[in-house]
Amino acid sequence: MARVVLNALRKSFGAVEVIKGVDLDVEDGEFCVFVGPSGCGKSTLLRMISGLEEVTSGTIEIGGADVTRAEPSKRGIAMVFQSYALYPHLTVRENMGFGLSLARMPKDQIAAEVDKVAAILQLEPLLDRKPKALSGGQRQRVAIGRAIVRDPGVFLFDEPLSNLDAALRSQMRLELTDLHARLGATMIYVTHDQVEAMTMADKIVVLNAGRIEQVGTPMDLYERPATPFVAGFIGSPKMNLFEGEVARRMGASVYGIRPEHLKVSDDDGTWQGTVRHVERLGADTILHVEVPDLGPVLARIEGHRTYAHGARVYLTPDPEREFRYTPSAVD
Amino acid sequence: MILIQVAYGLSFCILLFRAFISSIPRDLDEAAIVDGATPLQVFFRVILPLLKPVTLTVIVVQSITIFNDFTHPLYYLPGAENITVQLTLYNFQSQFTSQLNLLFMNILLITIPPLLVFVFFNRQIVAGMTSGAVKG
Repeated sequence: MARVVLNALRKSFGAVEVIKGVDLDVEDGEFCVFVGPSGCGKSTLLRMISGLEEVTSGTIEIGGADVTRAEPSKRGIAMVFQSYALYPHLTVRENMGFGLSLARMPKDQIAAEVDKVAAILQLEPLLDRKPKALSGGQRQRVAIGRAIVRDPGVFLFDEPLSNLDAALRSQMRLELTDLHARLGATMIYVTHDQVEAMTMADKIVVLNAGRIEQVGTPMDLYERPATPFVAGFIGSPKMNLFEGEVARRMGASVYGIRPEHLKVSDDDGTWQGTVRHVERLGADTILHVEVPDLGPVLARIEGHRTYAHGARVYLTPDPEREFRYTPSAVD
Repeated sequence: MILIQVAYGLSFCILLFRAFISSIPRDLDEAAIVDGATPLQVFFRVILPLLKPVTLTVIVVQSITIFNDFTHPLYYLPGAENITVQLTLYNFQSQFTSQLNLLFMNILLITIPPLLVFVFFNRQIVAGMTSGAVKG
């Protein structure tokens, strides 16, 4: 129905190549998240799928049809922008029905569609307000509603939650996940926040410098990161990665161990170090330990354990959870 | 005369419109395109309604300027039958005698039209003058 297939997709702005050959298959009904640092090309890739950005070479298929050169409105997609992009001069009802009115649908039919979607998103009391009279979360919902009304095969989200505060963001994460389950549509979601990626995705695509670094389910990426980049990007706090002489001694060109897989002890262990900072998060405590030879190392312990600044501790990595990368993985 | 005033005012108005249009986020155009709008529909249904404040500003500023204009009617509309109200002020002054009573009556009459405009469009004029000063 609405499977999205990208074949050897490339994009250049002048002499600068920002998307360097992307092959990807997003199954029908899948929630796929593009994640990566700023400037890695994830938004550009999404805009290429939407048709707002031209493709330099390669092809895009949506629902079995080649839409590489098709107009955005002919691709069966709807997009939710980071800034919401609501039309300020129109009411919520008109905003949501805008696409349908452009398609010359009869007015009563538009009203029925808008009412149906407003009921799903609990927007009924707001239908006659203008966007400036809405809060951030409500605007977000209207923007999503505007996308749903068009009944697209594929939803594209461009960092839709980054303008919301932390509490609202986690609530909207749940709502989006529910919405995906209810609509069963294909969704492609761009974010730089690995927490959003881990919690919402069926499939995560990690991008780095215009290339796909790894594709997999959230737990795949957490447990089996293919490259040091993915290892450092997925998981919070981020994995301890060591390069150079230290890593070579451990038989790898990059050695990694997650903070939660280090055993912290007062009297015995593999590495000895000094506590530099203690971050209490409630349920967990993060220790920043300075280990001679290794440098700074993060370790996660239970929230009730505490160490004084400057205390001496011993760290032992869990041998089954260590990652050793050979030079080929690093490149 | 209208064409002449258009020619003189055009550059300034284009500058104002240009500055205002550049402040409209690009996302809005793109949202409309994704919604299926043609370039003309993007302009008439999204951009043009958003230009209302700057259009009002342009109308107010240009009306005042043109109404007060003295030099251009003097140069381009010679002869007693074509003159604008601003030029009539000079009918009552001469090198040796001035009819101050008629001159002041004339000034009073000339003041009435802009005053009426201000009474009715007070809100828009003030909004137009401050628009762009702060975001909102």
